[in-house]
Amino acid sequence: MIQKVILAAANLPFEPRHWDRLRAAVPPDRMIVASPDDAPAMAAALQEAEIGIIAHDLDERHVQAPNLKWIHCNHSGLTKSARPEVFERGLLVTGSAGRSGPALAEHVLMFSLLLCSRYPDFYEAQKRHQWLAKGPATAGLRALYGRTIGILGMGHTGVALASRAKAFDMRVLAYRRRDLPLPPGVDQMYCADRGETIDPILEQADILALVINLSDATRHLINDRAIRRMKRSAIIVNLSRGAVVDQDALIMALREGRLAGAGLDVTDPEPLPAGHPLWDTPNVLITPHFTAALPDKADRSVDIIIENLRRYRSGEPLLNQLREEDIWSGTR
Amino acid sequence: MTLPAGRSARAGKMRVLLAAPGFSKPLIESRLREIAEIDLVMPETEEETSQVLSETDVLIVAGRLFTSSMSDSVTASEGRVKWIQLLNAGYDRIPLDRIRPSIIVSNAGLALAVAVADHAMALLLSIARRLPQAREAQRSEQWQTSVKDGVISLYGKTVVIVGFGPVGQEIARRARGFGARIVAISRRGIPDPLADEVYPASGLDEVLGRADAIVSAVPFNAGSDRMFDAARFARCPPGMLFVNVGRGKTVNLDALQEALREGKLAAAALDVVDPEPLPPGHPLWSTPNLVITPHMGGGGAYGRLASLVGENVERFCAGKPPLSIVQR
Repeated sequence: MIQKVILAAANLPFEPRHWDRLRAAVPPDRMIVASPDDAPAMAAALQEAEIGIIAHDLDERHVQAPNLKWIHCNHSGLTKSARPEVFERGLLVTGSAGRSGPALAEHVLMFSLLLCSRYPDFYEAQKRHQWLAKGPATAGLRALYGRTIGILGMGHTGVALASRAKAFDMRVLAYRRRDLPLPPGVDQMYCADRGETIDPILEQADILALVINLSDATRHLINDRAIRRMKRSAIIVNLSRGAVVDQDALIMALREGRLAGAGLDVTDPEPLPAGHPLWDTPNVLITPHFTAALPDKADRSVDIIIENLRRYRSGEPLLNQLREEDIWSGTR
Repeated sequence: MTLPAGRSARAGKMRVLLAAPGFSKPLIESRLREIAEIDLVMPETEEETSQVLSETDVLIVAGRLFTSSMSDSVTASEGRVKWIQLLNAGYDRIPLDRIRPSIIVSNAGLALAVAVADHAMALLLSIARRLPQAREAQRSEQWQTSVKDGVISLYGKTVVIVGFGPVGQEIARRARGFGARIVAISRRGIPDPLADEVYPASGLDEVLGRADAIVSAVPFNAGSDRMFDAARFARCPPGMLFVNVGRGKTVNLDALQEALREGKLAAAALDVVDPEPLPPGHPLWSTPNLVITPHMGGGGAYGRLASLVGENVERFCAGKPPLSIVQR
């Protein structure tokens, strides 16, 4: 068997114990650790490497590397790596999506709970030292049990969200591209591959959770037409990318009372500039692109990389592999 | 239990008195109107209530409307009142010791638990994710990435739930869904499948030291009076979160403010305080890293509350004991 060369970027956010785990998985192959700041060393390593493990998105050097067959970008969103030339060249690209699934799913439910319990009103009342009387203050409050959450995107975050939503006794509808077995917690799945659209979800959802990748196919997926299909009492929670939502249409719907609220961890653009109308749109909660640091995030990265090394060597499909449907030719 | 019959104003009908606050009354009333076996009365005044009580079989009442004259009338009814259905999860607002043991008292914890648990999770997540800071940044239209410094996820964290009745158990189910380790403090400390560890109250001090968050849903009684005091907050590891959805009097609020001002606790959120309503100008309102909501935990469950009351009345009419009886 010919020894493969694995290039690992020295700036991967790993502690010594994570490097130890990775090194232990390398034999019988060989690993070169090169710093991205050391251009000659990196160029030399890229001449030899069949496998690359890098901290950020790939660039031209990786597309041109003569022997490179698989590159792992150690972060979640692969939008910027989803370049048409990558597929033309046949380069396998994987990412570390899934490490933050639990934290992102938790963030979706936090927004859902806070918007359903009218957190913005209570926050303002506390600033005024006002104990809001029951009746008016609690009118329209509704716990999550029995309500319907529509999850667009069944990646790691979507799967983590479905099981968490079930712990709140919610009805879970989900949408994904491929017709695969139903993940735990999902009551009904709609699949693009079966010719189904997101419309039934838009119409039924009390909470619409966006945890779908941004691609040419999903840009402005939630536009004016989509919002008009939704219930006026519904809320939208976006943890994917700002451009999945037509933000102008969202702002208009919220200002006209055609939607009950929005929880946004992502906006378009980011950072959202001061003076942007989204900041003070009613019933909008904005967090500045959080991904809560999970205690074992680096461990989970190494898990994914090691598992993919095993799969690569045995010719199995890789985890988190970028596919042609993910092509994003928008602004980088 | 035997079916009480034949003493109602209308023969064969059981007389049910409903004294509910305006926000939950309409749903409960319309549910009870579906039950043919009862004669529903809803007196407008306290005087009228006292008169009617002597001819009432069942009293359905919110704790804060249960006045001492009502209590006297129940005593004076000499056995006519057989069952009191509370519209609250807590039962500290009624003088249980003055109500004869033969009268069944049931609470609404089963119906309200899901909504209170949802609110507890909303409060816990809001402080774990530093939502007050995010809200301030939003008000000033600043994209402040520093807001996320110190933000935590419940995944893999230890959440101590104090009080493991229906509310505590529903909180456990939700927090466990997020991948948290659940340590429960219950009256008897009996193992429960919803918790990774369970201790009686005497175990609280030991587990405080390894808690990432404490969520209290403990009822108020002599044993829980200001149980969260300066000594207990001193035992908490730095950066801990504290949530209370039980009763305000279970927390020494001066000690809590101190712990927050000194940074011993990272943040706290209270749906219950003492006194309620909290008056304007009270220092608690502006204590740093403290979220206050006006005792609205059960607010999302009035429909469920009406269903439970209806079901219990039907059970009672059929000679079965109501659900959620308060053990005395």
